[in-house]
Amino acid sequence: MAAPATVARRIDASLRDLEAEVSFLPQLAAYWPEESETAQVSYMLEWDELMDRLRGLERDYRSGQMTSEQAERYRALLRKLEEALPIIERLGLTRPPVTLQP
Amino acid sequence: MSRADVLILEAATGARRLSRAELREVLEHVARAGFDPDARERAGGRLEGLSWRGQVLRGSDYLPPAEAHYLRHVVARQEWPPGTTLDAYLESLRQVVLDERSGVVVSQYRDKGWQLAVVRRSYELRGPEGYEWVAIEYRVTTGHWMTAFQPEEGLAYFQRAERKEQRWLRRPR
Repeated sequence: MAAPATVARRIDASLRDLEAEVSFLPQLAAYWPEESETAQVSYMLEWDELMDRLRGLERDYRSGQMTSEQAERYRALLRKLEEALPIIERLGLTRPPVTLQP
Repeated sequence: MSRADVLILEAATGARRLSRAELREVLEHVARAGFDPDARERAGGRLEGLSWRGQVLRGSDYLPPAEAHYLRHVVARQEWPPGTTLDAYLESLRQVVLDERSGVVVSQYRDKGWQLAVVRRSYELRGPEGYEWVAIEYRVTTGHWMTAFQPEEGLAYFQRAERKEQRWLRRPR
């Protein structure tokens, strides 16, 4: 079993990555039509990995592994993901694999 | 299309079972392929604000794929050991592709064509924020790597609905 400090660091890193990428989605959507198909597929693959990390965060959240500050950041992330759903669908990215209602 | 790519397609569709020598030929081709040096992709949100080659990156900046994936997975996320250089990251991926312990799986990714992925336990490549497995994805239509990282979900990463007609050419050891 991972040490608490390791778990906290992993949670922080996943939150940081997801927050950054979800915030970038509106810009990405504006660029998307002019991107090469290869660049689009590359982004889809990276997004899939981020959705796996989101699933990991959901497990951490439900099992009480997050600090209160991390839990608040996670709930804010879910709200941003819900707002971004139209973009996610328009770009053909994988939908978030967790409930967006904390 | 190279002979190795033809072998991948024949193996992927079940038209041919690759011999050990043919699989070796395919993997040597994939190891040489690397990321496309002529392609460009956006840095994206995760690299926003990171310093690289004397500049502070914006998410909209274009980067060669090798640099984009190195910065995301080695520098920012620390999936590889601290101090891993870009060249060392790329060399580590080539070694994983050629490692006899690595698994090899082909699948159709969405409607985007066939991909071959090589996956091995991360062993000495596991950094402070790394995971148990390393994965490298090669796309047949472009003849280059698409991404290379340490998936949090391990082998389950390859069992997604987006991947169809999945076939293991060799299971990882």
